Amino acid sequence: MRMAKSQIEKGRISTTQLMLLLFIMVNSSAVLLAPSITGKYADENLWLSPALGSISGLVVILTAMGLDRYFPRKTVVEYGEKLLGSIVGKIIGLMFLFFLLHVEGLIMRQYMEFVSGLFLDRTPMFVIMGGMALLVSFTARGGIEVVGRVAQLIVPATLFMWTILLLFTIPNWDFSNLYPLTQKGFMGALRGSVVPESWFSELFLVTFLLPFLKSNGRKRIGLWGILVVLFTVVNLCAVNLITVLVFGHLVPTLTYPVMTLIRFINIADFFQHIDALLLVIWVSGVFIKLAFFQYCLSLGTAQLFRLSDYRPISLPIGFLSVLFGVWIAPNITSLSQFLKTTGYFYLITFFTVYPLLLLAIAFVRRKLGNEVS
Amino acid sequence: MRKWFKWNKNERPESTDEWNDLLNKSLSASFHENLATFKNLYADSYDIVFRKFQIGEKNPAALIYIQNMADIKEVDKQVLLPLMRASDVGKIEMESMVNDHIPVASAKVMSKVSDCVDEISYGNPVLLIKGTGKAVGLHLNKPEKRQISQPENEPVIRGPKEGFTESLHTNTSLIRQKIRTPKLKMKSLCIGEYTRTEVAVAFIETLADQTLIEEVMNRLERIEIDGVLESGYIEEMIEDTPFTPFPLVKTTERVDVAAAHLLEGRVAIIVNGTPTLLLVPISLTSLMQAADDYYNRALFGSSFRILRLFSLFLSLILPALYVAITTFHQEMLPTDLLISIASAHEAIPFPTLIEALIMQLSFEVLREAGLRLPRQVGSAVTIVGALVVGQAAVNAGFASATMVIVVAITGITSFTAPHYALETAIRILRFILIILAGTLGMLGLVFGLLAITVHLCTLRSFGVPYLAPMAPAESGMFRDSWIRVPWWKMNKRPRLTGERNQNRQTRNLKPGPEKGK
Repeated sequence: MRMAKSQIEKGRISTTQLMLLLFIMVNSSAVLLAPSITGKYADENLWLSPALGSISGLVVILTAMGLDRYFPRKTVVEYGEKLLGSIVGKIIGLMFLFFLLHVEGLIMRQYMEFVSGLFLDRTPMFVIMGGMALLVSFTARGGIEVVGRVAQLIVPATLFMWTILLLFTIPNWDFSNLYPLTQKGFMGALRGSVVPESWFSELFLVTFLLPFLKSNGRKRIGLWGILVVLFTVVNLCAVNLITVLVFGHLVPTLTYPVMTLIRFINIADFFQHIDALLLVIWVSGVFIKLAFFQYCLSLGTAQLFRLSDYRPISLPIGFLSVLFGVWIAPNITSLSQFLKTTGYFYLITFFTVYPLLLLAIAFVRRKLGNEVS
Repeated sequence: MRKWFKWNKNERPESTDEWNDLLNKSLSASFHENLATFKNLYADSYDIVFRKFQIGEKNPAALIYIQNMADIKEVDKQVLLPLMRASDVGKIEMESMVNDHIPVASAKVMSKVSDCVDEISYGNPVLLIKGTGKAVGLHLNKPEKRQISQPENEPVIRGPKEGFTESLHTNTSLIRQKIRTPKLKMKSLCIGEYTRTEVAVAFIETLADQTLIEEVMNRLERIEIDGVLESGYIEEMIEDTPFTPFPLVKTTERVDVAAAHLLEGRVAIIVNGTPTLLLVPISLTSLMQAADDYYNRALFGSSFRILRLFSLFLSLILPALYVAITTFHQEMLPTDLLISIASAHEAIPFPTLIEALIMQLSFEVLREAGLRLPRQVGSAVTIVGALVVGQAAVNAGFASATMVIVVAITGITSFTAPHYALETAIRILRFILIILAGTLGMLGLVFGLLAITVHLCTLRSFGVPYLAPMAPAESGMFRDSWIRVPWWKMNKRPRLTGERNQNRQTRNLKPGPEKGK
């Protein structure tokens, strides 16, 4: 395998690590909000919405892989510059990185609102976000190998606990909450799938992983990518379905339906109020997501500015992400308003439209006979 | 020239440079000059014996050795007697002298002062003969040795009871007795300017990675230190990451453990003067493995290993979990339990965090005291400690009974660690987790555990990832990590150390009544 001289990441990750990273990235933030956001439009049909929303995930992942064909061992920051020319490419690359930073701040804030709203209401915002930012910077500093290994250790454990928690809710399931699909119409489910589409579009970040995939895993990577989307759909549909089974038409009125769901668990009068366990699971998941974002951001910045190493800028970026987390919204209401409305177009622009544009340019230039890579 | 002049005037070397010059010199042609050199080197050393005698009629010779370190009886019988009785020696050549007249199994002809000094320091008599310009070291030393005994720190119920001793040569022969193939190699080197400690690097040539051996040798050779008194000196000098609570080098006193690691393609570093061997490279899973696991049947070996993993994890998080739940997440406890904990804590003047820290600290102090005190006093400390930390503290209202239980369970579970170094790491991290849990509740505990995980993921031991079979995951990762598969299924060596020679045994070894026909 020929390695570009300029490549500053020397680590390699395996297909399993890539899949686990992508899976936890989409799921960790989606599970908390998915039922209430999709339920707003889809009502009882909300369990169908993630499946419809996954289309953007498929598109995005295949786009990233197509671009990887044209530019093997290069990230979006590198080939964006090649395709758009050095000046325009640099500007758009900078915008993309700024967007990533903004999204990282968004996730940071979401996490903060969840923790301080439900558990640590008197702890200062900076402690909750700062602690996480330190941890995340420390992880991203270790490089792709460390991020991949952490995911490989933590994701299976959290998935196991998550499944157990969901199974514990079986006594509360009420099947009379389910209605025939056609009663409320199909359009509701379709409208409900709009916001999940933006979550799935985050999968475009696979572009920061593909260049560092071990060479023996590259062959069937398309299949694995589609599997990630499939697993995510299964997970989100299951969560949505269970919340409907338990709460029925009340789902859209809850801020964190999953949280309320877990609170309902009462096994033998001993396992009760185990919402702190959900905190453990969810914080671990969102930690990996943030670490991954931060890694992409550090690596992308280093590549854009031709730095010799990305490790030293991880901590400053962590600091910025805390600041963005504070600036991003005055309170949780406007935060969730943003996520439910404009956030969709914002995410789709950079995570779906921009990659498709790049792919189109690459395709056209290849057709015209220009050497693209 | 000035220095040369000085020595001829029989002056002793003073500065380090003069010492080095003297040591690096070759032996001169003159017998008396050589003798003077050694007399200068060993001036003011009452225990160095210079025995002059005549070979045959009129060939002066001298034996230099350290009192009590050489085997005097053998020297008399094998060296002095034949040489003094020899009559027809004729022209004296050192090699022919050794071959014809000295019936000693091992002898080394030398022409450098430093070699002679090394031989003398091992207790070997060095023979100088006039007219040869050389010296011969006779391996007739009689080092003080301890009997081979059971390793006290790594007891097993089933398995060999022999442990390493302080003598390097005993230790290497113990390994040779276990692994008898000539493919077992041992490289030797000498570390420490003053102690001149012998260090041997043992590995199996067809199993251990060549680059690994080179790396080990390089790391050992760059050590320049005045003395090595224990393998701990070397351990700290060759670690990949100096500042980590986790041990990156495994230590053992058991011959079978060392042999097992050699068979997995790892390298053993044997240091003279200590029964503790160093094994590299290791991963966290190899610190969870106890020798017993492999001698008991697989089902029980696996069960006990899982039990140990669970206990160690509990010992890491239990006090922190208790603090987090009772301080921040009381709703998680069932009402009855909550009431009893709350009522027990009611009379306690401290917050739970402080209570936990004090109790945990006093437990550690008791442990340390029990370790340091002479054995006769030790039991008294245990009794007083148990009374003070347990009964009296609860009665006086300093600590709640639940906290005492938590500390006790933590202590007991931590004793299941098969390696002391791992346990110490857990002991330190426990305090950090308690503080995090006391300030941020469950979130703090998660932060702490995540930080530990990330840290573990960044560690490497001689290039091998510290969480090797788990992350990065390998095929067959469960073979010898969480569980121990039966021997007939242990077909492959751990991938990252045994890469050169993957297969441990033939396949299809599973026994059964129809097999063996």
